[in-house]
Amino acid sequence: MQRYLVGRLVSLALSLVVASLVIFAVIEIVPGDPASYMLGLNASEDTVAALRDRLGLNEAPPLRYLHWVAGMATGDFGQSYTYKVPVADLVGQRLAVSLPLALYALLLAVLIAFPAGLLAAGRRGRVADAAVMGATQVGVALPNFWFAMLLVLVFALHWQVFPAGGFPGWGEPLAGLRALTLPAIALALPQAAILARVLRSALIETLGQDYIRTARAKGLTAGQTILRHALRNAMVPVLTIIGMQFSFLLAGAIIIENVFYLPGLGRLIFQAITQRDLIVVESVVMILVFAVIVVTFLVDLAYAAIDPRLRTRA
Amino acid sequence: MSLLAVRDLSVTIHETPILGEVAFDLQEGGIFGLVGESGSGKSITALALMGLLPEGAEAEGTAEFLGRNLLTLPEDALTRLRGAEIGMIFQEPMTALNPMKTIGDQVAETLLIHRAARRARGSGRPASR
Amino acid sequence: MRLSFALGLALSLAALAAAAVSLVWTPHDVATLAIADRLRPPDAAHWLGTDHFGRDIASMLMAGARTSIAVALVAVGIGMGAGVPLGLLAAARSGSLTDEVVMRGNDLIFAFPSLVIAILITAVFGPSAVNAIIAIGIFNIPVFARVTRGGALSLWTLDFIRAAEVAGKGRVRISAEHILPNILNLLVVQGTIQFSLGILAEAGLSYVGLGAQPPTPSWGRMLAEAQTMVTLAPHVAIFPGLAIVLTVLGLNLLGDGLRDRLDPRLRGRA
Repeated sequence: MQRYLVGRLVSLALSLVVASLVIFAVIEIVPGDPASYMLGLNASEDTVAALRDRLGLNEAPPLRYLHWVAGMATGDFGQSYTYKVPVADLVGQRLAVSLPLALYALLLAVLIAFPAGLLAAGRRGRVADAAVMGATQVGVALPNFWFAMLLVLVFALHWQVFPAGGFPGWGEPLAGLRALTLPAIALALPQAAILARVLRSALIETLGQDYIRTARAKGLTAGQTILRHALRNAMVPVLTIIGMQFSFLLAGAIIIENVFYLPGLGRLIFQAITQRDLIVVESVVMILVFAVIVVTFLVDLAYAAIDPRLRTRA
Repeated sequence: MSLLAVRDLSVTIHETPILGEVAFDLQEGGIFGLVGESGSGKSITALALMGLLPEGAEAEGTAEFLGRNLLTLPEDALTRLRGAEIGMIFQEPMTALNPMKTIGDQVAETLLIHRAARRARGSGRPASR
Repeated sequence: MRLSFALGLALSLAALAAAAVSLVWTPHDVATLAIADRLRPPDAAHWLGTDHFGRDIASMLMAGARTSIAVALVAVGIGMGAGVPLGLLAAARSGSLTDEVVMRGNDLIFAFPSLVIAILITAVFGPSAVNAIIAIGIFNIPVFARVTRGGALSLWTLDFIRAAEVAGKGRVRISAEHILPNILNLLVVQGTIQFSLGILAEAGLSYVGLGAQPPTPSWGRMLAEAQTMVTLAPHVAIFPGLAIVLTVLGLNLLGDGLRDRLDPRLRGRA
């Protein structure tokens, strides 16, 4: 188990380093001179020089990179050029919306997908299976932001069960959750469709194995067999998908915030792009990629928890 | 009185007959050997008795065991018999056992399942012998 | 021909036809604004109604199909063009450093969802359809690399490949002459899937303004513009969304159908 863990940790660290290099290269090297890019064509020489100085752009790139990484390690993500406040603060506020949204959506997706996938696999070839397959076929084709608009039409404007947009803050947790519910559902449904299909297919494959028959021969009921044998073995491909879905959910959350006017990372990043606030873009992208890489690592850990063979093999 | 009395056991898969009118008796304490060429239907016979035939297969005939016909028992009754009164050991250990669980776990599982089932049914004593 | 495959083929061809026809004709001119006619529900003159600028929605959908299809297609091209050779290379040198590097590279790109890549590119180069193509295309590369590598690996173990090696053929020639033709089916199916995903991705990017810019029509942007009017005139928001759903659905059904026909061994894995 040790070797597997260490191997995964090394992989994690390596990915982070390479990802940070890529981000740094694109943001700080490719535009040529980030300072003049940020200030635009009409800026005077002096202003550009002053900004270049302030951002430490006169240092050699390798040094700048190291400073950046060292800063991030201590929680210093620089200062937003447009808002003149520490990026860490900005991101922290927005993460308080985006992260719970992504997690809420993930939870809903799993809660919807598992029963559906189990049902379809268990009743393979029959009506229930066809129904699930038909529904998921439509589900994976839905753009989540369009689905969100439809949800708003029906559940916020027609039947006023949920707010149509905005976020009241976490002061009142229930109100906050209510505001995130429609967005989470819109995000969750297409992902649940994908997950249900993967689960169904993994279960069908597993249920065809000989050890399932052995389990029945020992006197396990169909339900016990699925829970104690089929599900666990089917989880490996399912976990892979859940891991990938987290990254799509984060990206989806960013897009869906637009529909609901949520004060999350999405708005921050899109404004930063229009305002050419490269510092904010750089930090937010790094954080997003960091989140995805960490989730991949967690999924690798989960594999080891599920499949004991991985722990001894490394 | 035989422990197991099989008469006219026939199996079809998707209406194609693959086993016809098998009959034999098993005595308590006895050892019975069913011998045949590859594909003659030995495994299918055993699976039919366990109620574990593959999808699309149907069994006809009678298999009297403890006063009941195994071939017409409902699933929950069969579940109680399997692993407790009737055991089956498969010939290919590499595929017959779950590769992600230990052998010990899977052997113990039989005892655990049946003990828990008996408790759930409210009878404190082990069934028969 | 199975029903779902036929349906998928019909929907996909409809989208392609709409895009192709729009190059020479649309019911109304897409660029003319007719404020007097704004937000009309569907009628005889405007089959799907008009938007807030009085533009004919049906025409805009047809023109938008062009953008979606072009972006998704080129993105698949990029993915295949770079991903397939990489996958073949990794499989040919399985277990070596090259293989390891390719796999690690794949994982790295997977850490950047295409939205994030698009954000990086547009932050530096500004938003455009081309940048959307690049962003989606880059994310396609590891997908095709992985599928190619997987398919190639299982072929390398087969005897007829070994025979070619023994006969003295180099690994590159084997990859090109024997491996590649045998994984074409896999690539066609995956290509269809990535094509449909590309359409969804393009819609998402356009919706947030990172894709095709005005005046290039785009389904995603139509939805963004329709957002504020969803209560006044729902049809402006419903039709572009339906266009996306039907096209993606059609392509998915087509892909599934192709998979069933081209590789019966995969059938039942759905």
